[in-house]
Amino acid sequence: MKVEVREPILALLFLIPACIGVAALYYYPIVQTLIYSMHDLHYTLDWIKQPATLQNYLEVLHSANFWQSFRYTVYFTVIGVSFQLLIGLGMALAAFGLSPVLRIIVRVMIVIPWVIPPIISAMIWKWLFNTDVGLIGYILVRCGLVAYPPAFLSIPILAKHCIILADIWKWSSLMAMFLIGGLAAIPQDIYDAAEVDGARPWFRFRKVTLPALLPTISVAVLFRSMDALRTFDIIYGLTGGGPGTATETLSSFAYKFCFEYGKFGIGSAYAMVVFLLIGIIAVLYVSRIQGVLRFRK
Amino acid sequence: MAEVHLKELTKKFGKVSAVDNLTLTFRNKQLTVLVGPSGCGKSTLLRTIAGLEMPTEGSVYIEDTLVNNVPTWDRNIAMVFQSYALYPHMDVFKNIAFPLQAKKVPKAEIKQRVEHVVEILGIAELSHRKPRELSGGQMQRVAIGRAIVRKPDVFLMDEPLSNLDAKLRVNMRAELKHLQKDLGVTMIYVTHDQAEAMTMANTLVVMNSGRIQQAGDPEEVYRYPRNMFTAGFIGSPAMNFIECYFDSERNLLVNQSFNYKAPATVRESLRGKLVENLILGVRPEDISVSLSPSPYAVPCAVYMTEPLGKEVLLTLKIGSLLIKAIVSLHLGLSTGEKGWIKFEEEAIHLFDGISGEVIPLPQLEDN
Amino acid sequence: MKKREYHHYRPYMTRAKQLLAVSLIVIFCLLPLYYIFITSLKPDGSEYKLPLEVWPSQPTLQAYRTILGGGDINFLVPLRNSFIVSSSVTILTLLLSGLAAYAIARLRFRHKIPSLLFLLMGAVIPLASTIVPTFMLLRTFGLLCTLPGLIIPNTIYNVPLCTWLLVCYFAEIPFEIDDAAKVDGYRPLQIFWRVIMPLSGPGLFSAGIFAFLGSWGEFMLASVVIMGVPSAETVPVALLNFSQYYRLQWTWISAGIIVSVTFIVLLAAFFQRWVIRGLTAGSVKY
Repeated sequence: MKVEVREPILALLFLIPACIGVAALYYYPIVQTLIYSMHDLHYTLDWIKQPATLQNYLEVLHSANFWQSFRYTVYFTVIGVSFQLLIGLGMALAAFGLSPVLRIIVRVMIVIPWVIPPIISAMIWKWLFNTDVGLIGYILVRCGLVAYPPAFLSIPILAKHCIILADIWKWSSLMAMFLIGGLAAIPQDIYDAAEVDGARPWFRFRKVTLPALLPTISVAVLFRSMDALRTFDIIYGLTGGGPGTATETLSSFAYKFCFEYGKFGIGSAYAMVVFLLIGIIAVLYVSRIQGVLRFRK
Repeated sequence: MAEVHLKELTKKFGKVSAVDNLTLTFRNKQLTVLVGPSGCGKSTLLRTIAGLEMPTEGSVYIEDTLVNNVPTWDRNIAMVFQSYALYPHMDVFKNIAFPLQAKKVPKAEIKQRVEHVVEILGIAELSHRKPRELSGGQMQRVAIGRAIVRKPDVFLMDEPLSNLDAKLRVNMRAELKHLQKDLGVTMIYVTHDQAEAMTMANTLVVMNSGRIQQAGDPEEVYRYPRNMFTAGFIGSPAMNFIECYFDSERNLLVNQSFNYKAPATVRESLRGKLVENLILGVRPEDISVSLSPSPYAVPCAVYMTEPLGKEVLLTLKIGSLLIKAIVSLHLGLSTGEKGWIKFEEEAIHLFDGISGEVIPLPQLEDN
Repeated sequence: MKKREYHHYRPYMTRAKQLLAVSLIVIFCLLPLYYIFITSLKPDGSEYKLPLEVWPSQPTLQAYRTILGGGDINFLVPLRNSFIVSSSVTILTLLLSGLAAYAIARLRFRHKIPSLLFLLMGAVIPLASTIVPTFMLLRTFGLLCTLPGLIIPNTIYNVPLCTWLLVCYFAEIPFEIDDAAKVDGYRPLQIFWRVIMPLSGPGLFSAGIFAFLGSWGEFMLASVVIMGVPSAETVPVALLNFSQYYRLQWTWISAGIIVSVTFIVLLAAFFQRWVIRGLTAGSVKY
């Protein structure tokens, strides 16, 4: 039959542009990065390229820089995503108990932090964390918690957490949006059934709402974790990795080694580690997604 | 086991009254069915009794206690929903155990009671399946199980059988009725299916537009409808309504298509009263059709025949009027043929054409 | 019992709680931006004065005039560039993703899942891990410091997500429509253009918005591709360079921020329905 022959060819035609693009700008580069990471590649006045197999990796794994940034990357991800989930959950639940007018206001509000480009939100928070006139310092002083506003971005331990705070601000709304979708997918009548069955509000939340929301939560957490592990923009914009190297993440080091120090081999090694981490999470993510898609077979 | 009493209950959504100044008592240990077309307020009424809706005005009493301000979870009621509302992430056992968990019943007792319930309902082997792995009928039983495990005062059922296929529905009706009797609970059952209502009810309550049209025994409601709505809603195929007026001189009920000799009961009750704007009501099964003329019988032509197995539903044309009659298969009338019809005297209903209320006719001795 | 309002089977929180919740959310989301906004309205130099005010005592548009002035600093150029890049990316992404998603969701062929995975797995690969070869690639094709050098990669970076979104949307259109169209004599490409595309309006809209927003805020690649060519900078890069050069002029930087985000904030606020719908398109169903 003509149709049987035609459609696969048509499908091929439709798929080719996207596939070529993805192959050229995703798959080819990652393979290249792998290759670079196995070469002694750097740029001083000229390109120097010599094969070095695993030497870069050894060097990296032995460097304090690597381990520090690795620890911070993981710490940043775990703390950040947890708080984003909590705050996002609060916002989503609140959004569901609101009358229509207020609900629209809230939906507009939560879109805003998400929409602002990460680098720009970093700048916003830079000003908020300004030692002399930053809002955060001002609030702390006003509340009597400290006498003088601390130098937020110059003290390593503070800087680390300030970045996490900025990240939480930006991404909680994304979690909220995911969770709103998840909450909306729960059939409404099971809440009625739970009420009739004698469940008080808190019991209902624990035993009906949360478990029903669990699939959405795990998908959202995995999704956001993949992103958090590769954070670059916020770090670069807020502290540039400082003070010293306190707030460097794997991605920021990858960038720096390549484009600031010219050591492409080392930078690529860092880049491959990032990829590996994300790949692990991605495997978890894919196994979690139960698509309810009906394809035409 | 409790009586539910509604006093002047009104529920408005914005300007629309879903339930309008309703006063009604659901007797203890009875199966009361609320029946009516979609949107008549029966589900809203049920939800108000459950506490899922707050009354705009009026009161709800369960066992003589005013429960308006008692939250749903503290009212000792159980409800089965049209969509079953099973908890999708819990298996059958946990679904049924849920209400007991909510009341902090000890674990051992929960196990015992749940196992007992699944035995009764014949779903023991499904205990560890999740709702999405169950068929409609199975989900239904789980929903019922979840309701009976608690031994509530009142059972509320919101069109529980509507999502089942026809055969299963008929079987389940009998089961539910048995269950109610065995457990001796007060059950309030909502449906839009009048046949279901008729078969199941101890007491039938017909509703329309938020108001009670008639309440009583099913047979009483069927035989002696108090208004046109009830008469037309209960009974299938529906009652025929014929506009006419009463000619007291000639003792005829006159319609533009035919004249019918008014029976004695009509003559008596209409003497000296309003004679125009009448509606004559007669059920299809109360019309006798014969192949040969007889005194006072009205001639008609067969417009359409619909065989129903052992009976035939005839649509008969008299002048410009179409009425339906149910006759035995043996009559042998087919489309286009002529027949003569008579209405069963005791089964004639007269309604006021403007108000829709029935005009009471003196009863003949019929026991 | 607390007074809850019920309306059509959906309980609300008490009025008081509602207002509290909304206030908290509004403060959380808007406060940082608000502070920047009032900073941008302060006269030059006065942003370092204490105490902080809820509204500047001497509001002025000085900062805006400076940055939009057209003298040394002209923020209109990056704005224009970003706009060009994002619009082009949106159109191209919709085209590429649309075709691919249509094929996967509605055409008959083997190897559907592998094709979809091939396209989706790109999203897993972080930009940091591909940026160097991408840079080299762009250099080879002479696309450095050009807008197409940003447009093409950004398009591809949006393809995985948009394809997934559109597959979900396309899959929701009943298949009988295709069959009906075929019976009526339409050929597959025609069916795509005249039947499916119009019906998936909301899906395309959501995907388009994502593509636009994503490419507007992209920084890493932009900073690398546009190396020191101010006329080709996009907003994020321009703003960062600006903030590093005029490190202490926070009124100016704030004005720059406000100018940069106003457009997309309005865009997203206006279309929040599609944004949220798009995000939940692939969510778990029971």
